[in-house]
Amino acid sequence: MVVLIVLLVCEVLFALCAGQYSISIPDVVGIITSKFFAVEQTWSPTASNIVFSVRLPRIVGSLLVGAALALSGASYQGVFKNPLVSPDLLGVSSGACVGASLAILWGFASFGIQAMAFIFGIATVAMTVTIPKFLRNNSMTMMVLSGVIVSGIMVSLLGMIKYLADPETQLASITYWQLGSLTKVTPGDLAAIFPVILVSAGVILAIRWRVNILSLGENEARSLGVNTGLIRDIIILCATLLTACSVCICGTIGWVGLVIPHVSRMLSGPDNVESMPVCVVLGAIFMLLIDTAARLLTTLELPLGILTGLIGAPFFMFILLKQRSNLT
Amino acid sequence: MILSARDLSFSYSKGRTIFEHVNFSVDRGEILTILGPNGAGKSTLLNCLANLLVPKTGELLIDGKHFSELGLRKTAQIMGYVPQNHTPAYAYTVEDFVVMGRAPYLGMMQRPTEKDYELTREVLADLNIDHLACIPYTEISGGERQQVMIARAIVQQPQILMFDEPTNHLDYGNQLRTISMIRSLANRGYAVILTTHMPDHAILLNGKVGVLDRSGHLAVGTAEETLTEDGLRNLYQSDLHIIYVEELGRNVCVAGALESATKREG
Repeated sequence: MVVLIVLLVCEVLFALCAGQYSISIPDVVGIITSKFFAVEQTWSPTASNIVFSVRLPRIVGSLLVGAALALSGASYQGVFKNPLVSPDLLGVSSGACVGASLAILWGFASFGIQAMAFIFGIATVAMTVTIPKFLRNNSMTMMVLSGVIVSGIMVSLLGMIKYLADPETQLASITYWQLGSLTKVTPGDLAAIFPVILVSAGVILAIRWRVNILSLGENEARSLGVNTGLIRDIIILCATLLTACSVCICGTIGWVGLVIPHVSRMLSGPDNVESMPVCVVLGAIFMLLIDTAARLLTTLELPLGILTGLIGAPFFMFILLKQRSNLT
Repeated sequence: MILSARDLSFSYSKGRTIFEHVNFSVDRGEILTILGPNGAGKSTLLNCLANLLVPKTGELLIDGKHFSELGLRKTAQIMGYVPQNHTPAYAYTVEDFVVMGRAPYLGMMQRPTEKDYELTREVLADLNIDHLACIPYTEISGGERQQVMIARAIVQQPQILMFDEPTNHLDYGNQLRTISMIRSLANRGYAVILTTHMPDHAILLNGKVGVLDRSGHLAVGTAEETLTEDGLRNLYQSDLHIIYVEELGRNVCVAGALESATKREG
């Protein structure tokens, strides 16, 4: 854990320094500390401006998004007692896509797109969890099937919106939004999602030992005196908020919520008391790595969703290859 | 008298009645072995007794108090439930798995403390499985897993232990070891309720026997009273014999010729 945090700090420093306009490490440290202490200025105002208004929001954004997606994935995997589950299971991402595309279709500004993505994401999950209650079948299988149904509807709606969209402008921005990017993140966006992420993550982390028990299955957890319905609803709500927050500021980004919890469990064992904090830090590290790579690798910036897949999927396979004997 | 059922019945919302007019009581140190053919509703009955399902009518009393009012947490403090052998999705270590038995004593935000781990280790040592403590639960054998689940139930510090078909998926030796462990747990003062497919286990345990037939009726009594040759033949639709074996000094339940069994089915 200490190693991971040190790694994270180094990575943040590197990300602050590197870019088209490169800044030296002492300068970056100086620029940051000058906000809190009086430090002799050895750098140009441009450097300071780049650090604070360009790089820092993006870095904080990727840390938040990575941590949120990874923790959300770990929660879903625990609740659905299935290590192959990702945060999209109940349709939050497909719902957010429909919301964002509608907003683009109607010509909303960036805030409108974010709000629509967030609202549609949450509403979609609300629909998914209502269907089993409506059918009076509260089993996990029913919930997963309900997720499949609702996601299916959302994918079709998205297709329809894309079909109706103006291919020159709207369709392009819908596609670009779907692939995920942190380029347009502003400090204002971050301030809006930060409290939600903090509270949701705090709640999940506070009850993470109960996720262990939940992962044994409904009946067994109840026989251990755990109110499974309540804990499950709390976790699903918080995990959905986490995903919705990240999707609304940077579009859909796959793989993080699936791969990072796996890697965390491999590092620290399956006990969520240990693995969830590792997951948060690892998610942040991974996302920042991806975003920094997206900035630096090519002059034409690659969307994050492409990179998480291109880097995440082979990385996942490499880990599975190394761990295949321990995989259950 | 610790647990008693009065006129218990259960049916799923739209389905047939699973059982009705179930009456019995189990005391400290007593064993109730529930026998019944596949689909008769043994597990459903056990789930009702464990407060996991709500019976349609009747009442369950624990030390004279209504059970249904206790809630899940209080129930789990009184009753340890050993589910059927299964493979969990995640490879928790045996120690992490067993310490989950402390859940009924911990608040929502609490995690097990060193004290809970200490108790866990004591129970593991007591059952002679402390060498498994750090091994992933998914990597131990079926027999060991059974013992680990029993350890978790004991960590709950209950007065009643429930076993759902504890001998399932175990080899013959482990079946007998499990049965003898259940006997010794009863001798320690737990009230024990278990379901099984083996009439012979009920005879070996030498406690109360409840036979749940396909019509949902539970006949409770001693093994001699409830396990009669005719009764068992009828229950399992097979050629079964209850024979007194002098060398063992007890009755045994064995199958007769296979031909007659196939004839009956045909």
